[in-house]
Amino acid sequence: MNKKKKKKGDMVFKLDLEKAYDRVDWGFLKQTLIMFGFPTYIISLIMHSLASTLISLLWNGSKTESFTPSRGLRQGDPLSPYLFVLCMERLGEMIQEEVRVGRWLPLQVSANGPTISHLFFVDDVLLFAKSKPSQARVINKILDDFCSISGLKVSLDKSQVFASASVTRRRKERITSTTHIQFTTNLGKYLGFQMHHGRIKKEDFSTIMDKVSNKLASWKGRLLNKPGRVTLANSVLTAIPAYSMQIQWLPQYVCDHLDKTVRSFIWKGSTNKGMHMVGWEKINKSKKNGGSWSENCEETKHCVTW
Amino acid sequence: MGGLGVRIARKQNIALLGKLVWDMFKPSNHLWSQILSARYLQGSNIFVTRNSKGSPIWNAIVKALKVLEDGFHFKIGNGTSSMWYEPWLLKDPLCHLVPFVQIQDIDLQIRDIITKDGGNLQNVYTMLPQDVRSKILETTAHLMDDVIDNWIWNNCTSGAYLAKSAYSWLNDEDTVPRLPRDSWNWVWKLKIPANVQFFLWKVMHLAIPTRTILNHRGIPLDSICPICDNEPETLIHCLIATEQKLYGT
Repeated sequence: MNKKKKKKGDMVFKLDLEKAYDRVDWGFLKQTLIMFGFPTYIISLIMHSLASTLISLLWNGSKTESFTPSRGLRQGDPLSPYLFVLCMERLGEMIQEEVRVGRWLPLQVSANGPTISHLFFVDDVLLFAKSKPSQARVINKILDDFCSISGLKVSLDKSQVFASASVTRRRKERITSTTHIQFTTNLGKYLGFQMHHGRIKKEDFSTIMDKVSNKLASWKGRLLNKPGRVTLANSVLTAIPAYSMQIQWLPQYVCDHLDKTVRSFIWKGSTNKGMHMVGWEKINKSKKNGGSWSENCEETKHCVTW
Repeated sequence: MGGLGVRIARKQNIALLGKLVWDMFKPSNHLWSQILSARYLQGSNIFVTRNSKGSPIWNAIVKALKVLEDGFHFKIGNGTSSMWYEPWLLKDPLCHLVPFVQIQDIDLQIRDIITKDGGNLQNVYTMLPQDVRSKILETTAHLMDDVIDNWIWNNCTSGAYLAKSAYSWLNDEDTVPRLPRDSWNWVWKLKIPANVQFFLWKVMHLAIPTRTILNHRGIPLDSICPICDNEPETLIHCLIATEQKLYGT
């Protein structure tokens, strides 16, 4: 009998950058812009917009003297996300270089599929590699290099690592000792989506239902009439779970619960009184085309429009 | 009868997942669809594989496909897709319907057997089931050399998938009313306050809690109108007859 070849296993780092915007080094930003080939006058314009910032603090109720910062992007500036993405692109480049020379072994999803080494969305960073202590050292070195030139800092407490089930505890400990990032069994959310590990559990969806009932609680005590409640249900309540619905198959009980919430909100509002006068299936029909008329309706239309 | 347009969570879920299904049909350059096709499809079509043992997201896509598949339709362009291994005629590739494909037939393309006057099975050596044969013979297509074979979404004029049109398809709705008098738009277009519109809508659904309707719902009440004391309080009585008595018109 063949001894089953032991699967090596992979690991995922989910990094949290501490105060991402405020820590960007100006020299690094300028260098990045030059590297991406921006014209000099644009660069000096951008740098001027950063350097002309004035900050003053509210200290015991009075303003302190204003001072100029020496690093960091401006919060709320529409340009800032783009500048930040360019800075992160430098990290991406460093990783790709390591992958190219073969020091970084990226995650391979299938035998001849694409490999993934990193996923960035502004300051949401996921890094993928084979779970080996040597890989941990490579990652550690790249992050240290990047942090020292860019001024950014990885918050070790908030970052997490997740490894395949086949990785032994001993190996995990060795990896943690190099990177100082703790292993976890659940990576939490990426881009607002819950990342699932293994079997889908009921609790994974409780956040969606909670969001809807929190919204309802915030409307409590408002005097709304039925058409107002229908409008709110259509535009707000059914829109809340839409984001998660794009990518997850919600279990039937979640759907039933959501429907039930909407239904009783329309007929009962926030009180517990009220009769459901029209069936749920009829309510779900579109406003414009709901199928055929009965005689009764024809009469009513005549009365009303006459 | 017209409704209020409140969306059902399950159907909304399927319609939105359909966007992922639609992306999986197309050879796209999204990283996620490359990864999923490499992992689960291995070069074949999503209709062929239907592998439902995978990551939660992949399982969600396969489940949504099962519901939506009748809404998709294979549009023959230049007809260079394989006759046997592409699910063009039914939602199953033809090679699954025969015990084996004759060696002469393996390279056959759709353009070899379909013409604009119907199917042509003279060059096919493999024995096909009778219903499939007649279906092929009925199929006609204008072959166009510059258009590749493609999947289209049936219920939309452009052929592209829209979550909105998928939702109304799932909800058995027509995009245009069958008869113009079936349209309910007039209720919502009346220039009256929204709560009066809503009242009107409820009247037409017989959803005003008059005594007869409450009685009908099993609430023990005397169904005689409390104002005139001799007739049962029906909807019409409540809205018209009583008013005449009250205001004397």
